Amino acid sequence: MCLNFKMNSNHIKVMCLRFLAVVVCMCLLSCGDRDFDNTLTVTEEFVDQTDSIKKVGLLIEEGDVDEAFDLMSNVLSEDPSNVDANVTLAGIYLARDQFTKALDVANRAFANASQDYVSSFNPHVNKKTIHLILAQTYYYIGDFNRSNDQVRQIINKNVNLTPEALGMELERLARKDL
Amino acid sequence: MKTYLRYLFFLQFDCIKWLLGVCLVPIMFLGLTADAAKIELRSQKTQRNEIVVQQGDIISLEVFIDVGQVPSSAAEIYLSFEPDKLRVKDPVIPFDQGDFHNGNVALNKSINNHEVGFAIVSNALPYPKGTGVIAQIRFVAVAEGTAEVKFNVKPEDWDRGKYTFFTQFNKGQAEPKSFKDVVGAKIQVKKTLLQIDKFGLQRFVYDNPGDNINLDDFAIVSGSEGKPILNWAIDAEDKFGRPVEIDKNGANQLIIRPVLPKTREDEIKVALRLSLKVGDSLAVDSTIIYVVNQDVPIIKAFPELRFRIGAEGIILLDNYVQDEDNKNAELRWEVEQLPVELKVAGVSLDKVDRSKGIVDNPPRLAFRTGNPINSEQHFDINLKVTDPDGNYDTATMRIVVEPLPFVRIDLVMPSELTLLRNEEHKLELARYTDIEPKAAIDEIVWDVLPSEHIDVLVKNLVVVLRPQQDWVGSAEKIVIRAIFEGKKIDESSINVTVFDLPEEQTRTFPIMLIRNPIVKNEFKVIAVLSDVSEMTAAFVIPEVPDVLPQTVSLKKIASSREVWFCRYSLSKPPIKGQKLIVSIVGKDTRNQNIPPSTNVFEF
Repeated sequence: MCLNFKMNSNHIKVMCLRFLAVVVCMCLLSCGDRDFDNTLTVTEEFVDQTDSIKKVGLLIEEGDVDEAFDLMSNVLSEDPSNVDANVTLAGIYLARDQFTKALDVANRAFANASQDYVSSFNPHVNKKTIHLILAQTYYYIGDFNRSNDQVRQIINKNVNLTPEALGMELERLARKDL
Repeated sequence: MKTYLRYLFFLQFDCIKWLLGVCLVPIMFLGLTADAAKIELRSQKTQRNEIVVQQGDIISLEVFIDVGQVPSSAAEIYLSFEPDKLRVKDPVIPFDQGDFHNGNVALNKSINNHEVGFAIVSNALPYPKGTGVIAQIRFVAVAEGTAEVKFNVKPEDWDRGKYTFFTQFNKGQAEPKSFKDVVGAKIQVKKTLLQIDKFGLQRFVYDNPGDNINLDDFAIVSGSEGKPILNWAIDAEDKFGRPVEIDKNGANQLIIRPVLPKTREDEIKVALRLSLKVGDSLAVDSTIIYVVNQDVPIIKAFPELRFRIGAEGIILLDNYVQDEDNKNAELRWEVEQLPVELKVAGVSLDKVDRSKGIVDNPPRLAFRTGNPINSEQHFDINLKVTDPDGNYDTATMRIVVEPLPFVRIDLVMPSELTLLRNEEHKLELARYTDIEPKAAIDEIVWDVLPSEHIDVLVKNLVVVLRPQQDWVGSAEKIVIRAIFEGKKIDESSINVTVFDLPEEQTRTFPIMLIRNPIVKNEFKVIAVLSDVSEMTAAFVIPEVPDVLPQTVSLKKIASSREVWFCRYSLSKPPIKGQKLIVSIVGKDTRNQNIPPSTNVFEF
């Protein structure tokens, strides 16, 4: 038994060198996969966006829509699929009577929003709010059918309202928290 | 006469000496002494033999004799003393002749440094008898201790020719006799007291500022041998310890005037050392005096001078100075360098020659500033008052400039205000008043001019507008005035409209208000009416003076024949309960006015 485990010194040196080579290769390969600078940048951007979105809620409360628009545009340039930014911009475009742009960003928000989406700048803004934005926008451009479609999504009823009734329904829905 | 006296004296004297020379021993040993004859050395002052003096004192002694009822025509006395303790005041003529013998002084001199001799011979009858003073002599007490002055009466004194005796007539012949009782003087010499009258000296300096000090007048020297020569050593320094040169003249007068301080704060410290050499010893005393000047003008504490901006502050300087030896009119006031801050703050200083800083007479300062300030400004001015002697005092006066209760006021009330019928409305004045400083608003008195149908009340900075019962109308002007110290400083007016809320029958066609789901201060107004060519909406938010009424044209929604809309936005989201009145007018396709429709929305 003792003889079976006995190795000569050359054999041990070769084993050590092989082990060392393997360790060095693993280190080099793992370092190549890591981009620490990149990670740090992403973290910073994420923090900035969160702050911007929270700030937008306050700006809109204070009526400073232009500042809110600029902030959300910056967010959107970094992250085009950001639901909060798209929803906010949809509301602002709607306020400015820029209905085409409102539809564009509202649809993008709708596509990216989860079913239980709640905005981080206003707890009363959720996926039904996106439907309401779309319903109002379609109404103002005269597409009453699509406006009705969106209203149906909100009230979960199969209705087909006349323009006058649709207007009243939109007025009612806008007064309550969805 | 002189020759005669000398002859007589020497005749007698030679006879006596001859007789005594032959009969010396019999005289001494056979007891040729006059019965009851006595000679005594005693103090002229106390007539006692035991005398107490102090070192340096002059001791006046008299040689008193009692020769009984037998006349005596002459006497010769010799005194011995200890030269280390006593000194003859006048060694050349030590004795003064007494009143006993009326004759010629035959001997009056110092024999050596420890003996003096005196002899007198009567030159006219009758010869004296009984008691009397032969002579006086003055000694100076030189050293401390006990000293004796004795008559020479020992036998060897005769041999030396220095024996004390007198002549007595027996059977018409003068015979030399020794005194039976011989009493010398015993003198106790105490140490000399040398002292400076410190209190008196300091008081003199206080009471006579600038006068020369006769130092010797303040030296107490017991046993003053006439007028002793006192030595004064002087050292002076100022209050910072710097040496000051001070002079003393030959008469021991300290010359104070050149070093007399000019202000009450300054003082000169003078160390004086007085010494007197008496015999072999040296008596010393020392003191310190402080030279101050009581005749300087003194500025009493100035009060803090406060005045409001735009007003004038005056201070009469005469009220704040005190000078013992000069009238106020003789004093000169100066303003030292004006503080830069004072100039920057625009404080003008009247009654002052600015180039020299000298204040006009009668001295008063007048301050005035017109620059606006927001808070109290403090300035310190250094003033100096000088009397004709050049003495002066300085003091700092603090000037406080107070801002006016307000510096700037801007009252801007809403130009238009819409009220509802029978509802009062309140406006907070602080909201519409821009005033500096803010606290000054409390000092403003508010006045209002009510209109015909609207009562106005101001209380606690709140304007209450109260339309009269059921009155509805427009453009009633309300004026609100801000008054300070009886003067109007600003005013603003409000055009008030009071109207009734539209009733249901005024809604001739539907009007809707759709709020933006995100931007809560943005709305769309929807009107539904067919056959319309144009529509205009008028917006009124009653009781909110910040939002003026406005009109906006509606536009028809594309592909719709009857739905019109317009955008309406507020600067901020409306508060809960706030009302918005929307009235829409327009024309139909035949260019006829359509019946207007009004709706009231409450947020």
